[in-house]
Parts: sequence; C-alpha cells; structure tokens
Amino acid sequence: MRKVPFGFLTGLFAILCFYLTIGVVALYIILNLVAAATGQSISLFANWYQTLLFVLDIICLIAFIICLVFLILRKRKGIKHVESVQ
Amino acid sequence: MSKVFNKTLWGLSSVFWALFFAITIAGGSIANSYETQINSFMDINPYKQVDDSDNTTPDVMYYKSDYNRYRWHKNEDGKYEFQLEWNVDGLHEYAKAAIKQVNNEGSVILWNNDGTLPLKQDSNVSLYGTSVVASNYIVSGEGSGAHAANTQDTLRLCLESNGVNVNPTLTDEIELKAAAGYKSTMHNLPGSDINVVYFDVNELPFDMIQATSDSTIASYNDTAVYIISRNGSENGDLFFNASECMDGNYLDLTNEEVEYLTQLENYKKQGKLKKIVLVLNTSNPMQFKNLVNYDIDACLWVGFGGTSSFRSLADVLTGRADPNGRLPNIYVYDNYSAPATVNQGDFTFTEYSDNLPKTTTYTHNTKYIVYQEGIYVGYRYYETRYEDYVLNQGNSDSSAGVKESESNWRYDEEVIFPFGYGSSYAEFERSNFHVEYDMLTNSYNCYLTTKNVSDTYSGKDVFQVYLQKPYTDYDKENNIEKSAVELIGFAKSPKLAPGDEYTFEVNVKASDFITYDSYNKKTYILEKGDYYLAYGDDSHDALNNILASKGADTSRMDAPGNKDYVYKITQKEDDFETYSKSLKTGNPITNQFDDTDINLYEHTQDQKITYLSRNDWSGTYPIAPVSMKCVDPEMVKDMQINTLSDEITESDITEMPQYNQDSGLSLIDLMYEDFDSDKWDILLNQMSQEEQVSIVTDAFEMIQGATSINAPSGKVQDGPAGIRKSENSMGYSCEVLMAATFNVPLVKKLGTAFGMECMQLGFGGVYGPGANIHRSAYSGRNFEYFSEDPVLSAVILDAELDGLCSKGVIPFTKHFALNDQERNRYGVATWANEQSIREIYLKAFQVSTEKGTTLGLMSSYNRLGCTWTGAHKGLLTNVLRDEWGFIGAIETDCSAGEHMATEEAVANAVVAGQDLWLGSPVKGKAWNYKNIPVVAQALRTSTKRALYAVLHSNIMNGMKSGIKIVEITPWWQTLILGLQISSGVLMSASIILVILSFVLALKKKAEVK
Repeated sequence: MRKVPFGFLTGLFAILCFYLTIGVVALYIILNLVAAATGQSISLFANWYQTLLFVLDIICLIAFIICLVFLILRKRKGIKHVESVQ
Repeated sequence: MSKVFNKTLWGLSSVFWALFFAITIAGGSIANSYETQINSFMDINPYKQVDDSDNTTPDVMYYKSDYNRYRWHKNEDGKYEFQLEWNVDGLHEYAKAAIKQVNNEGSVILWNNDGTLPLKQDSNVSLYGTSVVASNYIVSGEGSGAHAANTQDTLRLCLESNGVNVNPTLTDEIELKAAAGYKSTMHNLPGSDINVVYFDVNELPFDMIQATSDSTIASYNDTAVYIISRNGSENGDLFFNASECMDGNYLDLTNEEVEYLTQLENYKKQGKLKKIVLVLNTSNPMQFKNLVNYDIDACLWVGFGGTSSFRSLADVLTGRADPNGRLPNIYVYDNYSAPATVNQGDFTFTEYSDNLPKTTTYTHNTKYIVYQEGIYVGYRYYETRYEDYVLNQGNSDSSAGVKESESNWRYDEEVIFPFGYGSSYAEFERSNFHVEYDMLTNSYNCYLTTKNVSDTYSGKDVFQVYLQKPYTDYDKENNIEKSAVELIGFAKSPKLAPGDEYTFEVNVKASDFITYDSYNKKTYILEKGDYYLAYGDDSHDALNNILASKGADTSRMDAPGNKDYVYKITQKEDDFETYSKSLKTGNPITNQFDDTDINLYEHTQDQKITYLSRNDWSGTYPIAPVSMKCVDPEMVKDMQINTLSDEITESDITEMPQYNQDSGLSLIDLMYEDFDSDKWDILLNQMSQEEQVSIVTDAFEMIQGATSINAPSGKVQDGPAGIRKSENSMGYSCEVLMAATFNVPLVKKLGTAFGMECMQLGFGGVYGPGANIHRSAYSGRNFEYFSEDPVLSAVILDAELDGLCSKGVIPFTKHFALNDQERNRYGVATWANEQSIREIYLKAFQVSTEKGTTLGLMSSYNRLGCTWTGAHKGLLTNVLRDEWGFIGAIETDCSAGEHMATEEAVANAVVAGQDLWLGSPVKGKAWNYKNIPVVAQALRTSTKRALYAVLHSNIMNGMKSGIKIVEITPWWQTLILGLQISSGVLMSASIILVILSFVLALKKKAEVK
C-alpha cells in the first residue's frame, strides 16, 4: 500500500495556511481602509469571499495539524522499528 | 548529502518562495498604484525639501499663527538652527473658547415658560436620559465629517462648577445602566447596500432607573433636565422606518422617550417636581406634533457642540452664557408637510435600458431624484403659501399638502417655529427701522435700533432683513416662482448689558433683487414692481410686517404685523439686460442646466412634470414621487461612463502643450504674480507630462509636488468638524450651530482657530466645509451643512472660509452641487429647474467664490441630469469660472465610483473643468487619452489651478528661492523591492536545489540498478 506522503502534505498545508492567513488579514485591512474613506468600517466576515478565505484557512490549518501528527507518529514508529531490529 | 538534497523539502520550498515572489510582484504593482493612499495612511510625504543654506534665518512664513514662534535651537548634530515651535495648549484653549462661544450663541431657546431657564444658583437638578453620559452625548455626526471631540468634560461636573447641585445618585445610576449598550448606534442591514446606514436611538428605559428616580427626586426637584439626541451620517439619511419611534419617524419621540416625559409629567402633577427642561441634542429638526403634548416648561436646541459641548450646555443652562441663536431651519409639527419630502428617497427608473452602465456598489446608474418642489424649500414654502392664503390667491386654502391642519391648510397648524426664530435671556425693544439708498454703491443700508430692556441679563440681539420680490403676471406666464419672503441680510449686536442700546446696519445690494428666468429670457432679470425690505424677529414676523404694509386683510393673518418695519422700493421698469452679464467677470449669463430640467432636456420631453407653483398650490402640490424612465437611446448614451464626450471627439485643438523646457523657475518665484501672468506658461512648460498627470489624477489626501518646478506637496484631510484622523485635534461645532449664531465675526474666529490647527498639524487643505442645502429634514448630512436658506448658508460659509483661508488653508467646500441627500448619491441622476439650481442650491457656493475668498471646491458624486457633476462643463466652467470668476482648484469627492474613475470619465471631466481627483483612477494604467491635445491642454490648465492654490496656501511656508524639492522613495516601497529580490533569489535557489535533488536521486537509482 502506498505510503501517504505526510511530510509533503504537512508542508503543502503549512504553505496554504500561511498564505490564506495573509490573505484574510490583508483583505480585512484593505477593505477597512476603503470603508474608512467614508467613515465606515467592516467586520472580518462582511463579504462572502472573506468568509470563504477564512474557512479555507481553518481547513488548511486543521489539515496541517493532522498531517503533522501523522508524520510525527510515523517517524516515531519508524524509530521504534529500527530500535527493535537493533 | 541525501539529507541536503531532499526533493520534498526543496520542492515545497520552491512552491513557497515562488508564491511569495509572485505575491510580492503582484502586490507591489497594486500597492504602487495606490501609492498616494498608502503614503497618506502612513503619514509619509514622498517629497522632501532640500535646503543647502546654513539655516541661520527663520523660514519664511507666508501664513502666520499667534501660537507658534521660531526658536534658535541647538540640534542633535550640535549645530544651531531655527526651529518652529507650537504652543499647542494655547492653541487648543483658543479653539475651545471659540467653539464654546459658537455653541453658546448658536443655542436656541424654543420656549422658556415663567423663567424656567436659566437654572438658579444652588438649585437642585436631576439629569435624565442616556445622553447625560459623556460618551453617549452626540458631539458630532458620523462618517467623514465625524470627530471624536476629545473632551474630558461631563455635564454633571460642568453644572456643579457653575453652582448647580446635580442629583448624584441618579446620574451614577444612569451611567451604570447605560453602559449596557443604551446609546445611539448605527448599522447596515446584513446583505443589503453597504452605503445605507440606519440609526437606533436606544434610550435607556425609564423603568431601569425608576426606583432611583422615585427615591431621589424629592431632594433634587427644582428642575429635571432631559436630553434627547438624534444622529446623522454620511450614507445615513433619516427617512428609514425607525421602529422604536412614533410613526416610525426617527425625528419624532421614541416610545422610551415618551415614557420619560410621561413620568416627569407625573412627578409634576404629584408635586414632586417643579420644572421640566428638554434639551434637543440634534442637528436635524425634530418634528413637534407629539412633543407638544407634554408639559415641558422650557426647551432648548443645542445641536452638536464638538469639544466644548458639555461646557457650553452647562453655561447656557445656568445663564453664564446667553443662548441667543436663531433657528437656521423652520420647525414644523410634521416634517412630511414639506413638499420636498415627497421626492426624497430611493427612486429607480420605472423602465430602463439594458445598455445603461452596470450598477455597482459605488455607481448607481438606474437611480434618479427630482426636485419637483422647485424653490419652495423649507420656510419658502410655508411663508409663501401663508401669504397666498392671506391674500386669498393661488388656491392656497386647500387640503393639498395638509398634515396637521384640521381641514384646509393653515400656517399656524403646520408650523411651530419659523425660520429665524429664537430669543435670549435678555429682552430687547427694537425701534427706528429705516432704510437709506446709497446711490454710489446702488445698495440699501438698513438700520434698526435695539435696546436691552431686561433688568438682569446681558445678551445679544439679531437683526434679520427679509426681502419680498413682486410675483407678477410675467412670472406666471414664464413659470418663474417667487418666495413671499427670503432672508437677504443679517447682523448680530455685541453683548449688550441691561439698558444698553445698539444700532444695526445691514447693507443690501440692489443686485440681490434679481430673479432667474429659466424659460424665457434665460438669464437674471429685475422685474418692475414693488419690492419690500422688512425687519422681522423671524421669517414669519417679517412677512406679517410686509402684509400689514400692503394693507392685507388682518382677519386672515395670525398676527397684525407692523408696517413701520417695512420699506418699499418700486422698480419702475423691467430690466432684462443689466444682470444678463456677470457683475464679476462681464461674461454673459444664460441657461447652463437645460440638461438637468426634465422639461427642457430634449430626451425627456415625453416625461414633463409640473413644478410646484404658487400660482396653483392645490393643482401643483406633489401628491406622489415623480416617475421617470431611461429608455430613450440618446438619454442612455448620455448616461454612459465609458465613452468620450463630444468636447473631446469634436475638438479642433491640435497643439500639444510643451514639456520639459527648463528655464530655471521655481513655483515660489510666482508668489506675487497674477493668475493670468505669462510666467505661468513658462513655469508649466518646465514640467513633465507625468508630473501634470500626477498632480491632477493622483490627489488622495495630498496635492502632489513637482520636482521640476520645486513645488512642495501638501496634505489634505477631512473634514468640516475638525481634522478627523488626528488624535488630539479639536472637534468644532457642527455647521448648523455656526449658522444659528447669525454671527459673522464669530464664525470667522472659529474658522481662524480651525485654520491655525490645520497649520499646526501640517495640513494645507481640508475637505470641508459642507455647503449643500437642507432640502429636507431627513438628509443624513445636514449636520455638515448650514441651513435650508441659501443666503444664511452663503454668508456663514464665507465667514468660516475667511478664517480658514487667512491661515493658508485650501478649503475644498463640498459638495458642488445638488448632493442634498445621501441615498444613491453615487451617480444618482438629479433633476431640477435652473431657477432653483441657481437661487437655492448654488447660491451658498457663489458668494465666497465670487468674492475670491477661497481657492478650493469639491464636486459631488451625483449627476446633474445624466452627467456627473465632475464632468459637467456648464457647472464647472461656464458658471463656476466664466460667471463667478473662480480661479482655484476643484477636487472630486473620493473617487470610488466608476462613473468618476473610468479612463474616459477622467478625460471628459478634466476637459469639463475638473482639476483634482481624490483617488488614483488612472495610476498604473497607460491612460492614452492624456496624449489627445484637448485633454493634455486641460490637464495643463488644471495643473495651473492646483499650483496657484498651493502657492497661496500655508503649504508654501518655509519655501524660499534656492530650496529644492526632491522625491524620495517611501520605506515601504524599498521594503517591497527588498522582499521581491530576496524571494526571487530564494525561489531560484530552491528550484536549483530541487532540480539537483531529482538529478541526484535519478543517478542513485541508476547506480543501484
């Protein structure tokens, strides 16, 4: 059975999470600067695309954590196997 | 080795850095197109003065302040130099004092039974209402005209310092309970237009403080002071359905406020309370049909008082200051009795072509509004209909427009307080009204003597002069309307002690008697007939005096009037020539707004309307909003925002301007040159085209500098209530309060304080004041505009501008023009006739522009007819410049709307006379239209106007010959460039390493095989 590449997935989800977080924050700042021109302000979830980005960010964060946990478990399993062989 | 050349690691690293690199490239490009906005947000000036002199003389200060000075000072390098120091505390004290004085003199006593006010020394007072809490009291409206006001005062402390005992337990209870969210708030509706804002009053329920009130009122029962507040905002008109208010009307009492008044009345009936005082902390007129049902002993209107709100309220309540303001708006029982309210709100074309530009958040291309009431705005309607009722003409005695009258329309059943109404703690007797004609100046000097006949109180009196023009057969034949009475001049006395006398003098020019004839002569005319100049305590009093002078039937009048206060002038002949040319420039005056009048615009000939007319009130009173369609192909074409105008496509201008012709001039060298001096051409020829395009089209909160001519850049900021984005700046009295003072020198003093503060904070321009008209009581930004009356607006505006400009501030007075409601302002097609446009809506801007007081204006978001104001040549060039002689710069409102920001819209507008963009609509784009000769020449002219305004502003303080202006790269651009380079390098390295990893892996695999 092919091994799931948890290392690669951990890194990938970390990258996605990083950029999505930047996106959520940047969009919030930019939209608020635009609204401030007329004395208004907006929330983190004022628009559907802000909410979508945030949800995707959370999903990637969860995926990153899961993959990292599995990666660590696999590494530990690998070390134990080596020790037992030794 | 295999650990170093890990395919997964370098593969992911490549992806990470590739994305990072792509984001910095794309982000950097986007950021650079918003460079000006980012610099403004970070308070970065990208233009630096380089002075190679030894700095042993103070910088040249073209505009001075009493609160700064140069000090000879040793700097960090050990060198001595002159540094400018500000006495900020002193400046703030001066400003606070001016604000307090405006608040005091603008406060209006609506009624004061049995001397309820002022509160006596040592009297015991209970304060009621959530607005008693400092953070809940409204000191300024919202939006770009908002200001935090930064006051530490509380009403309780201010009253106690004035010798009044305030119920401490009740006040503490209110502060505690109100903290649970009982205060005025604003919100959008989820999922709906973000440009529509709603308000909640959120009064603290009486039952939450009832127990404390019941138990403490006996000890503090001399007077109950109840404050009610109403807000206003950009994007926030007040004609929404306010469910907490009676009849859903935000400008009527809420159910909680009714409870307060009922409970306070009960205290009185039970003998537990002696007096009730109601304080109206509002800028929009409340309606009174329900308010008058309560036994309120005194009512005081105080507006939004900015930084000194509570201090001035306490002074006025206790008599330390005399509230001698006069209402700048008429107050009625039902605000919907004003005909303008029929055509206020949200109107979509009932039919419109699919070819109209697409509607977006900031461009409403299917919306319209029609000013069907014509000139009958505010008191002009009520007073004119009253006169026609007295004279039994014009079908005025009908049920049309009735809201509160029992059967047919009656003035005293619709109106509670006329325009100009107000009094003082002092009492005055007036006498000796007379008028003298001055042949030399062709004007009339009006005199009135006033005497303070009260025993105790000093105060100020106001002399209001009203004009009546004859309503003639010519008017009826040619659809000209005449208001029965209109304010034509005013003055305020100095403070008069008991027994003091003062003689007012007000000058009225004969040219003020003219009328605009939209349909026949299409210019200003002076008709033959009887003109009346009259004194009155208010507009209605003046009209009764005129009616008495005319011998009207007193049985139909609500007061006998006094003909001694009237002066009649008979114009023997019609004069259709003298005023057909501008008295300022000599240029001919003719219709410029045929495209804004439904009845004259050629593509709405099938949609003609009947404007409200005094010739037939009953037959012409609007009964329903006007319906409009937009299907005519030519009308649809006129609404487009992506097509070049005929001014450009049919222009015969072929010569491009000259650029980059260095002749060694700097902007400072033209300090004493006239606007028409030839040196300006030499200077402009020195500039590059990029600089001219930048100055004109990239002016977000800054007027760009130009290194080729050593022109410094200047910062500009909101707003009418004070510098908005500064933590410690002062919050100034709202404009309604300024107008209510009727005091020109005082408003000039306030403008001067504001101007000095702009200097101290480094701002060369301000987006304000506002000068639109209170067309209805419900416009959300009425707090930022002066009045429903154009003359009061014009004179008070001029006073404030005088003060601001004396300190070198460029005031971009807004919004030019006809932006009198907030709903759909982004691109709404506004329709009105030329007489009302000129006599009502443009008048406020005209006076200070013709006088040359100001070098700045701001155009508006809306359209005139189908054409955005910023691209309307009739408005911006023919009227503003050719007739009024304006030589300053006109800036757009924040260029969020596509109708102001497409490449074609920018080209059209600059050719029409628009000079500066509050935004960067063409930055980062090729904008090839700049190379069309007519557009390039227009850019050059706009650049000249902007530079002329800068040259005569405090932006030039410190500039002298020899100082160079250089452009610097802001740190954030350097940072982005650094990130781009480093991420590019890291991306490249990662890619190389991942390739090497794959190659090595393949080699190893091959070796294993």
